[in-house]
Amino acid sequence: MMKMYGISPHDQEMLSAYLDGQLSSKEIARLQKRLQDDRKMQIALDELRSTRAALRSLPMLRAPRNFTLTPQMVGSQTAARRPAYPPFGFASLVATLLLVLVFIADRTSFVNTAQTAVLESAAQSTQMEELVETMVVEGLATEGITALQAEAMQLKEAPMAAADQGEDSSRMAEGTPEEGVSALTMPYPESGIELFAEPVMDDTEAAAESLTASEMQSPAGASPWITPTLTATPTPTPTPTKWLINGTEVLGVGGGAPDTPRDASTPAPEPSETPSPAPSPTCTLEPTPLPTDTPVPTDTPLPTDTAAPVAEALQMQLSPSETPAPLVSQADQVQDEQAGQDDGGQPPTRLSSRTIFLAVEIVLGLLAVGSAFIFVYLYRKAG
Amino acid sequence: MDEILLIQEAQKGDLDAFNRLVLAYQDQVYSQAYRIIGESEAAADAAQEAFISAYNHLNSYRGGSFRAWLLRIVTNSCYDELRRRQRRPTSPLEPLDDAGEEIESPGWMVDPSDGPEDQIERAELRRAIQHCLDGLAVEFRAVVVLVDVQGMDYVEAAQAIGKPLGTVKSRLARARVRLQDCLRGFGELLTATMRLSGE
Repeated sequence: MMKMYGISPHDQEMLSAYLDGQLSSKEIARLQKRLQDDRKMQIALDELRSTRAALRSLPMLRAPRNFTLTPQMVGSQTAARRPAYPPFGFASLVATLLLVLVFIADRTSFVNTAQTAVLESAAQSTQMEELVETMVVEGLATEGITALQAEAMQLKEAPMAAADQGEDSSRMAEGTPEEGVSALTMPYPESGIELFAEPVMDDTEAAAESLTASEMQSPAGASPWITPTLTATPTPTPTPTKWLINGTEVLGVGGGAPDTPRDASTPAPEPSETPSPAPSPTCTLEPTPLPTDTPVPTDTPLPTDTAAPVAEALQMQLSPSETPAPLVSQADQVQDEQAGQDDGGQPPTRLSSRTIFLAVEIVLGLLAVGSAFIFVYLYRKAG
Repeated sequence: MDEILLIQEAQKGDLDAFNRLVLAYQDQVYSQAYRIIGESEAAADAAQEAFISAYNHLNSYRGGSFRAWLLRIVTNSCYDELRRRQRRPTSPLEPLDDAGEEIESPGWMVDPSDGPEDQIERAELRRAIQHCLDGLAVEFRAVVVLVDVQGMDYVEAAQAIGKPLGTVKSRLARARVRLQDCLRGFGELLTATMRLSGE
């Protein structure tokens, strides 16, 4: 504050307060003594008094209109002045709750999906076992009724046991010589394929080696235990064959090549005329047609309850234009599903639902966080 | 009129009770707004907003001078209005001559409808004071209007502006000195006013 008549701002405040009667008695006495001695102080006081009088001369203005309030005015103004942050807080809260619910639903759906996948996998395994069993029976049908009559009881027990135990057909191929007549020993008389097998192989290696030829014809990535069913071409007319193993003729049933015995003590299915030489690492199986005078065992009667389905299977198998197609088609379908699951893929519906869940969770999360930020900003702004 | 009872009724939501308070204080509120803003329409709007805000925040009144509480609300409304005007400048209060220059002579404030000479002089003095008030900083303006126009004491004025007593004392003194410098240009007018007022 600039000096008026050489009066300091403090003296100006004292003079102003003196005019308003806001000084204490001591301050009034001290100021009055200075006013008597200081002419400038007296002039400044007179000027300030005139200004104050001019200001106080201003009349009280009358309001141009009444400012009384109406209910509508209060309500509209209240609504207009209502803070804007509560809706954002509510939106953030709702979005958070929805996010939690969706997250729980997502997790629940994920667990259910996993359980469903396990159940479907189990169902597919059962289906495959049934398919293998059927193929074994059909394979038997191609070997002819005569051979089935000879080994009916054994063939009835072997696949069933294998299916019950959940073993795949590769183990069936490595079982006893009687079991070896089943799927993996499907004959290839016309193609003349030579099967090589290590006599001391373990189960898996033996199965893989014996499946080499059939895998060449099967789609890539096909499961080994599915392959025999895919490539097995039933022979319309069952023909007894004789197999040459390391120079030793072995009698086969219906062209089926007997598997190499796992154990040397295990007897061959059919006795050979020449004693087998010492086991060599590799044996060569050469199917050769048996002479017509080869005795066929017929001493074992075929049970009636087994003969009927086998006959039906045989009739179906004898029509080559019908049977192989559905078998391959069904196997391909199962194989595709298996390959799809092996690749880690999910069925399209499961994948899309999972994606939708993730999208909804992201949107709700962004909504919750954004609303919370706006809420905090508006709350602080509103004070 | 029992002011405390009306305030209590208004705090319970009785709009009629609050309107009685409005009628009792609307001239003072409007005068405060007009002296701060210097424009009747804007002052009326500020006064209306102040009453609405007072009704909506009536529960925040904790006793003391109800007039000071009301004038504090209208003073804040005037501050808001002046801030809005700073963001959106409008035409100056001073009239312009044909050349577009501001007319500095107080003669433009003469109301042709005034009849007697003293009324003219008083009217000119009021306009001169308002002109000088408009030149003050708004915080000084509010204090000097509260004390010299509304007739408040320092304590009540301190309550109205929400500042300490020393701030009121200092601001009032500085505002008076600046108004004194401004009114010196209206020397004859001020002298006549002093004479008419008997001082």
